[in-house]
Amino acid sequence: MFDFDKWQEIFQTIGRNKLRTGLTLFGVFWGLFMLMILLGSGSGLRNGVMLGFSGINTNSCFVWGRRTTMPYKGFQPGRFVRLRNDDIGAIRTKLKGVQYVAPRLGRNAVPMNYKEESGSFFVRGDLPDVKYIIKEDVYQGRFLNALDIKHRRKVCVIGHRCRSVLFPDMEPEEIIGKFMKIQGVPFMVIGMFKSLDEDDADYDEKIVHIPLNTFQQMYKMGDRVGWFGLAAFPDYDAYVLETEARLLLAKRHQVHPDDKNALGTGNVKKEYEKIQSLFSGILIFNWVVGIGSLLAGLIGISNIMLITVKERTKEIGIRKALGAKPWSIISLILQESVTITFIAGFVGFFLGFMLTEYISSHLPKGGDSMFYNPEIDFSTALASLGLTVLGGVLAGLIPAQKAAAISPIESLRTE
Amino acid sequence: MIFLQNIEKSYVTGHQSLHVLKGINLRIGEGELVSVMGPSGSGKSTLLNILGLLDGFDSGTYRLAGNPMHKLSEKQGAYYRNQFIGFVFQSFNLLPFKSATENVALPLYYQKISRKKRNMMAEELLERVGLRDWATHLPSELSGGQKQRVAIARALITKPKVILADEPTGALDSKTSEEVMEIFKEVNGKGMTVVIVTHENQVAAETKRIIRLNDGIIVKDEVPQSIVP
Repeated sequence: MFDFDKWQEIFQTIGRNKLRTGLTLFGVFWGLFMLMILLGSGSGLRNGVMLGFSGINTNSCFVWGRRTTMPYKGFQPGRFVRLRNDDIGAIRTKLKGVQYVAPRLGRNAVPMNYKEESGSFFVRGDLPDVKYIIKEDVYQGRFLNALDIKHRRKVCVIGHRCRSVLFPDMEPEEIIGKFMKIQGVPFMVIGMFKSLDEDDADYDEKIVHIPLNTFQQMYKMGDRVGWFGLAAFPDYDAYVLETEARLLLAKRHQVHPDDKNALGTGNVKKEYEKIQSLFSGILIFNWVVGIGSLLAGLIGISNIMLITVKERTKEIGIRKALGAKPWSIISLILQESVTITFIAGFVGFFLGFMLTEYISSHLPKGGDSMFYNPEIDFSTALASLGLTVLGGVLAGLIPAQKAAAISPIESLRTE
Repeated sequence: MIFLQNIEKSYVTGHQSLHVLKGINLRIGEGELVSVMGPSGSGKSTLLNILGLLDGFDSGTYRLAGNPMHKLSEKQGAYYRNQFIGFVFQSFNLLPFKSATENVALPLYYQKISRKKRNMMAEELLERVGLRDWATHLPSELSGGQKQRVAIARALITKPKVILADEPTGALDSKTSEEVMEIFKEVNGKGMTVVIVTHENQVAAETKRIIRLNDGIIVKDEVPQSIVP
């Protein structure tokens, strides 16, 4: 129930001690403000770093062939492990956890030209499923499809850098269908893409995707595959998949199971989780520091309320003599404590939230910045405000009990 | 109105026990104007605190308006103090940040009476004690006599069964003491039971009955000479 008189009492007391109340308010205000800023900057840092993962499926791994280092089944060490097309099918059928298989062959510094414009870029022989592992924004045209592979078409999907060098003055829709030359061989441009990984965009956008088998034919590679990208099912651990894939390929290529150097493997998930756990650590740290400063503010409130009760001993004694019930005294002190913390907490919450939003909206998107889109989960922010108010109750509890325990005889004794 | 039988009270401080009241038997009827006198340490303040339910007692019986007042909880004590008793103190004990009206109205706040109604009642009472023009003033702007009149108005506002006054004229000069006593007499004249603790003979002489306390027992219960016909 809204008790107007009690509110009047509270604002009267607050008004009588403006400076002291103000300083106390500042403690809680600063606590919540810092918590908001810490959470916001923590998430900004996290989003900035996680942006580096936006171009890749984080639950995926990679396998490629290297030289053996251990003798096995009569083979001498030093043999080069050559992955082949038939490994694709083997991986698909033998490994339960694999959702997409993307074999790739690549060659860098490949001369390309369109009419008079020329440059040197990276060619990648791919299958369509690579799009589930390396994520790109195909902003014009389309990506490779099954028919391109089936008919071993001479088609290509070009990166943004490549496009701006070879087709400097043409609109994207004009470029589609044009024939450019890769190593002197004409290819039709069917799409163009931008990298989603803002950190490595310069490199990634030099890539030109062509069908894997077209690549194999063009460079006379037979059925060789340079590299496998494997995406695990969402509920399957890519880290496990990595080991399984390595053992499977080791077996198929007569490599000693313990010869870890013979097959190179990489795992995004591991890196991703490392950074994830780093940020979980930072988050915990931020909460501890934030809650700590909030706690300091609350203790300040508790302290001030104790002083207030001490100062108001006589008043409380009078009130009791006039018939104030214990609860009336307790609620008076509690309500004051909660009001102070709520006002201070709300201002801290509001300003902290606003500042984070402001920074977020004025921060340049992308670039090399490690800081991106700081945000505070609104419900988390609201919950911490609620927690602060609860803290206000706790802060007022001891002073309120002290107040309720005041004996009217003691406090009214004539000096 | 007030019935005390064998009231005993001792204070324990550390290892020592101080026997303050050693069996008080007292009956005060409705509409009486009683003064309690005695040297310091005689137990008169303790008696008043027990009468006012600000303090408990160890043994005996205390009935106020027929209700037993033994071993009350804090809440019950607060209820009876608010409903049955009006306090007047030597040092006035007004809340310094509240106006005369608000001070007088305060006991009604604890009866959950609306602000408008209790302020109206407070103004009526202030008029009765001659302070209508001072209703909006803070205690610091009032003289001692005026403060005590505000305090008396505050004691009267709940229409209590009994007014308990602890040295009400102790901080006042003789002229204002006289004025304050006039108000007590007037209030008593309308049927209110009034108990005044004092050490001033002039004050006691204006009451209708003097109870003299010494060393924790009632030594004399008399009618002041001047009133004896």
